Amino acid sequence: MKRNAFVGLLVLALTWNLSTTDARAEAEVRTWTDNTGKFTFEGTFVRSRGSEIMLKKVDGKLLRVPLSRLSREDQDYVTELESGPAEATDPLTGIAWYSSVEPAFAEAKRSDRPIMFMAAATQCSGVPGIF
Amino acid sequence: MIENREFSDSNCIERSRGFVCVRIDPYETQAHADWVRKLWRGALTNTVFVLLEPDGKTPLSRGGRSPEMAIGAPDVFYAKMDEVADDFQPKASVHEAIVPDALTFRQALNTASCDQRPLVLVSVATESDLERMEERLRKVAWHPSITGCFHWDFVADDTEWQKVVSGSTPDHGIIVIQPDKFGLKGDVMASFDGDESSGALITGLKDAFFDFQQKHEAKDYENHRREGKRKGVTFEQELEQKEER
Repeated sequence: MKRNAFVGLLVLALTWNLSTTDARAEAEVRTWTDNTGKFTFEGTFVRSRGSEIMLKKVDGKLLRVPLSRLSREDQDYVTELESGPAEATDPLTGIAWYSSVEPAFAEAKRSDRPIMFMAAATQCSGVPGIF
Repeated sequence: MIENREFSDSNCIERSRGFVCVRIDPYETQAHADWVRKLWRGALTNTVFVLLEPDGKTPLSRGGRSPEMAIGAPDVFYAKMDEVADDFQPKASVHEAIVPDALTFRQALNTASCDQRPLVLVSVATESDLERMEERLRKVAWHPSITGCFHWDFVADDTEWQKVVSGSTPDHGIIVIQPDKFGLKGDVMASFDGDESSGALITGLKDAFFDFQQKHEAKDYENHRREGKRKGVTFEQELEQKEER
């Protein structure tokens, strides 16, 4: 019953062209869970489009699912499939600066991380484009 | 000038991931000037550096005009960063951090130019879309493969930015902009509708950053300043640039 309810909740019209199926991820069967944690089913990731993804159940049926309706773990899995793992190598290109106080301090409180605070004029002798 | 020293060093960049890094322009707004005065002996100065606790109030280091003046030579500075970071274990995922948002588009463009990075402008139709988009983009903006590659700015129901940006400028979407040398104008490098998957956005941004690196010419501090002076380039801000002693 639960599986049927989940499928009924998530299945949308299947209009995608399967010839564009993403083969990278089709091999791995995993247990997918919705964002309430109550509904699960076995299947594989096929591809994503916009805010929806296509999954293939082990019985071969295809489902279109809004990514936001899946568990956080499943959302992370999809992001990793498409763009590499969250532990991917940081290119160390530069410091990820906030340029205003409010979101930075809100983030420090959210994550309990210390703050590296710098003030620096974004012009030199009145000429912008350089610190 | 500052970016050519400690902050461009991979030792510093790597350690900075354990911190929330905020760099404000003290002359941009009165509020920014007040922050600088609060953290630097009551005086408004061009540069100030300090490490703070997550409460944004309690100092974890001396204040100074630079990391070197506040803490010490690079090795001492890095050791201090390690020591501080060890005392604070993040209680929430750093890969889902709040996305940076500049106070104004013109400042965002100028700052991106200063840092020699592209700017990602998130333009939405209404104020109510802002929160939804910011939340959606957290995993994108902080994906390790693009962390520190871009500056970010959000605007709602605002097309003023289009006046200084060339190329295909959609009213809404996620728009990657290459700032010009002086940070006063920009060119659209890539744009996304905003309803792409997170993975597709990350891939698109990585591609845009790669393009940026291919095209970008590194700035020379003195040449830049001289050329700006010669051409009469200026950037007006809320406060006049001055040093209080």
